Amino acid sequence: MTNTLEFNGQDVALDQAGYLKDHTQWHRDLAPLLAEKDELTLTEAHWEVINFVREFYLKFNTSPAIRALTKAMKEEFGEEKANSRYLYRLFPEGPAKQATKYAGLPKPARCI
Amino acid sequence: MSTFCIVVTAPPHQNQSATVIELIEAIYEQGHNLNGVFLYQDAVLAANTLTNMPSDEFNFIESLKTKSKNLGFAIHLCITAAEKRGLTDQPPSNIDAAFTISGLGEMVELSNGADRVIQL
Amino acid sequence: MSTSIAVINTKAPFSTSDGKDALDLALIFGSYEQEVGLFFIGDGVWQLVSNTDGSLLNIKDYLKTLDALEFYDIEQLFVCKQSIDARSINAVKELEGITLLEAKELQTQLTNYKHVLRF
Repeated sequence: MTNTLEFNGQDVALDQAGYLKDHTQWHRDLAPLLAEKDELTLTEAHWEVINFVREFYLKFNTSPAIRALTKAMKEEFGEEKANSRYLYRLFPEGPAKQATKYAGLPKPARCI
Repeated sequence: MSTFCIVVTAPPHQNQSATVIELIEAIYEQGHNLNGVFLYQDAVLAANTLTNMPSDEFNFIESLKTKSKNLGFAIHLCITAAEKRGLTDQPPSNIDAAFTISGLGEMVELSNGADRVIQL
Repeated sequence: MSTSIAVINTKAPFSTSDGKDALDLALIFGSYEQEVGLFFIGDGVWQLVSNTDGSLLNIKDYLKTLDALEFYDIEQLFVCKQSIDARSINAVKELEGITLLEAKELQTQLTNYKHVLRF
């Protein structure tokens, strides 16, 4: 099954769950389009997490699971934002799952 | 009495899988408990409904399914490892219903509840 | 409830997926707040050589993830010194919590974990 999103006159390939197939095709302006499909409007608070998750991936070649995400975020954002309640409020379907999607990263392993 | 958990990483067509069956038998014969079998890496191939073994060779998959049914333990498989190997739980699924779709989180739970984790 | 697990790496990083499978498993145990010890013996020590890059072989460079272990609370890494010497490896990655040990000390460390899995 092919699933594509038109962006800047180009077709961006998505997997079945709506994640980018190639993370290098990601662009900042793509994120709101991906979020729109989930009926989510991105705010600055969302962006902090999206950027953080993307940087984490580019540095460590893996998308952080929720616990690793909060632990890593603690240094940069402090306890107030580095907790799963706050993150779930922003991304109700699961921060690891949703933030990685809008950050253009591969779908986290199903087995988690 | 001890509680065992068996983690299988060997594929079903390799001879090591025969030892899994013997281990299960020994665990129950000696009055111990088995809290589950977890399939990881190539072992997940055991769940493929399309696998066909020559009738004069040891049939690990059938043996394992029979043991699971008669003795009442679950056979879990890591769905990520399975999907990498052509197995799917989306219709038309080729994962045998005798297997439970799980993830490594389940292996953590099983390890927690086991006195011994044996890998084969 | 929690348990402790030693994950032993015995394979070089890129010819098989064992190293990555072992790391994936370790990360999940870490995420569930279990005590994890990573062991590297035999050809497993090749996973710790600096400046390797699987992507040059079109293989996902999962070894970059080793730098993120602290976020999974995996802070015990034990490396077999004998295996390093036998392969003329002169330096391993400077990871948080990494210790080079003689075979006998490795054995002792292994006994500190309730369960052992080997890849």
